[in-house]
Amino acid sequence: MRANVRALFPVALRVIGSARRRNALLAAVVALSLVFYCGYAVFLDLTYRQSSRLMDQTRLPGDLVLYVPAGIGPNDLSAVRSLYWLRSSEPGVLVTAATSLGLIEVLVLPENSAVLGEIGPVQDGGRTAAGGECLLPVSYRGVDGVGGVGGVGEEAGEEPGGSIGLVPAVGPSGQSLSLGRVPDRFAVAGFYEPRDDWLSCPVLVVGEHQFSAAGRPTALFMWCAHPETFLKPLAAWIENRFIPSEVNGPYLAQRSPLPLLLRSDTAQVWGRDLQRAIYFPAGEAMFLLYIFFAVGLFALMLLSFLDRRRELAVMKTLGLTSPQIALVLYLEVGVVGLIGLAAGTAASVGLLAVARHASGQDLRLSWWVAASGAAFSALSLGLSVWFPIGLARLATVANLLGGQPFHPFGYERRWSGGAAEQAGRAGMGLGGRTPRA
Amino acid sequence: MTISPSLRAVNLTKTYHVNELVWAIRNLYLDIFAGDFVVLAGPSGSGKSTLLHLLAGLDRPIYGDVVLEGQRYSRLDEDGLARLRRSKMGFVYQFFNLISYLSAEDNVALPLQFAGRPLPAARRRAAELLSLVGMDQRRRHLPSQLSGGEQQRVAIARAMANEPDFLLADEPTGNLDSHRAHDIVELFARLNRDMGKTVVVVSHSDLFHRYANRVLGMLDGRLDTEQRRVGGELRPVEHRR
Repeated sequence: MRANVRALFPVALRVIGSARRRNALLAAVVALSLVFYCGYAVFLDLTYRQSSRLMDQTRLPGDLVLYVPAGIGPNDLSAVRSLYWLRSSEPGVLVTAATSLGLIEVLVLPENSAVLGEIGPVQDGGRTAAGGECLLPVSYRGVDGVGGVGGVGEEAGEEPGGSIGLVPAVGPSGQSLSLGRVPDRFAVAGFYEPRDDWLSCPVLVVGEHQFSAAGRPTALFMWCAHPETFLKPLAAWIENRFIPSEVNGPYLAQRSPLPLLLRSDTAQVWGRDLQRAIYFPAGEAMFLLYIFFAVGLFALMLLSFLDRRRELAVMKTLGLTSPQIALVLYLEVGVVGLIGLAAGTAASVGLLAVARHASGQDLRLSWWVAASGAAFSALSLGLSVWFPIGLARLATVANLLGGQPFHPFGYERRWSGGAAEQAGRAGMGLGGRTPRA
Repeated sequence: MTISPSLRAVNLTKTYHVNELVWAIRNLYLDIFAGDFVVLAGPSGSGKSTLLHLLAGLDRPIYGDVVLEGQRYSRLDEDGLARLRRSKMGFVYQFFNLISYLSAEDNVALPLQFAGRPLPAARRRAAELLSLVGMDQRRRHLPSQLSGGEQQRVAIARAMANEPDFLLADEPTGNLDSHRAHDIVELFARLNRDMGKTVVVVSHSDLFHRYANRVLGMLDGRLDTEQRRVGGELRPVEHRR
């Protein structure tokens, strides 16, 4: 083998040198396939980074995401509206500890939120809530009297004259919950098991003073669709992990860009939209081009083989065997491929820098993307040689010289073999034409 | 004592399909002995070149077999045939078929490299062979820089590279003027006479008859006539089918 390589390497070099244009084209195709592969990977990477950035915006330390609805002001009925609005149509979010604890949503309301503050006549609670006490909305009645339990409609906030029914939060034990009973370490006022259908899930109320001195958030309302699986883990989690300072600092830091705080699924939708809008089409175009050039490699190698089949026939006449043909072809594509890969890597890096500068996007090309692209291109090259090698192995010199149709798979024998073989066996002709001068 | 043939065609049959079935070779038997100088003659389309290609293992018969020193071609795959050609057979084409981008020397060195010889050693041997065919002054030239006769000399040197016992040539003078054709004929005769090579030549012309010890006339894919040299003259013998 080593002797063969040593003897045939100069031949391969001459073969490469003999077809500079063709090999330059081959190297260019290899380079382009790598460029488009890298381009595809870069866009894919950008897509996922963008969408995960959106996702990240929904998260705060401790797997808890907080949200303050925009526009909530002291003594503002919109706080309640926002509460309901969030629950029903969920335009902005609250919470997504959901991934680990079930479907949890959290609402943090301002200190003087209507939910906790004095707003409107309390229909069912029978009294006005004291500041810091946990009250829950249970009903709504508009100015026209329409409403009732479960009737807190999306239009509630649009009717300033409407009233909301609030009840004090009552824990599972039946005791009324107040901020004074919140454990020192936790910002938890208690759990509330609502009696009304529309808020048919547990609620966790967190007192304002448990947060930072800024004192904005006063309560956390949480509800989930699976209280059985939610409550106990949540309680344990709060006991062990919920340290307000850890939550509140980042929370406050993120308050200004609140409109960007998205629910995880909203973020995913946004991410998908973003992907659909920009990155996927671009990435997919790159991918299709990569496939095109990878297939082009096969076509090019096959055409190259057919182009050189006379030369190959002469070499076979001189004793070149198919392993040696394979060796020469592999040496050839190895050298050309290396040149193409080097050019492709350089072009990828250069184009990436240009694209980064032009788009302002954080486009990154990691080494393993380039390496895997090179590996795929090398694999494509290797496979593209395989078919010509197979043809060269099966074809006779006469086939390759073009003196007769190229039937490497015994077509001629199968088609004519019956009559001809019988004729040969019998030692006689069976018709047909004998060429004459 | 019976001398066994070195190269033997047994019931060789070859057809082509060009819209219809065409018989190129029909049930042909042929024995070629070591040291023979055989000329295959006959009109165009009589099957001379096809027979030569079958004898060289460049093509496959549809039926029958070729046996070279006990090795049956039908039992060899393409690689086996290539190895056989490399070691035992040199083939010369009418149109030289030199590799255009290699010098005369590198063309001759090619089969040696295929046999595993490194380039420097192969070039040394190629230089010797080119000297043998009178081309030592032109060994660095590309085929395009050589005349037809010179190219054919290089092709013959290339065919001789691995010291084969058999030299097969398909109309080696068909593309040359008469003066250069004569040189080539004499070169073949010398290789047969002085180096003991068995030569099988397909030729339209009578140039080779002077040196051949057998002239086989082909017609319609069969051996039609045969002349053998007896006492310095070619004499017809009964053709064996």
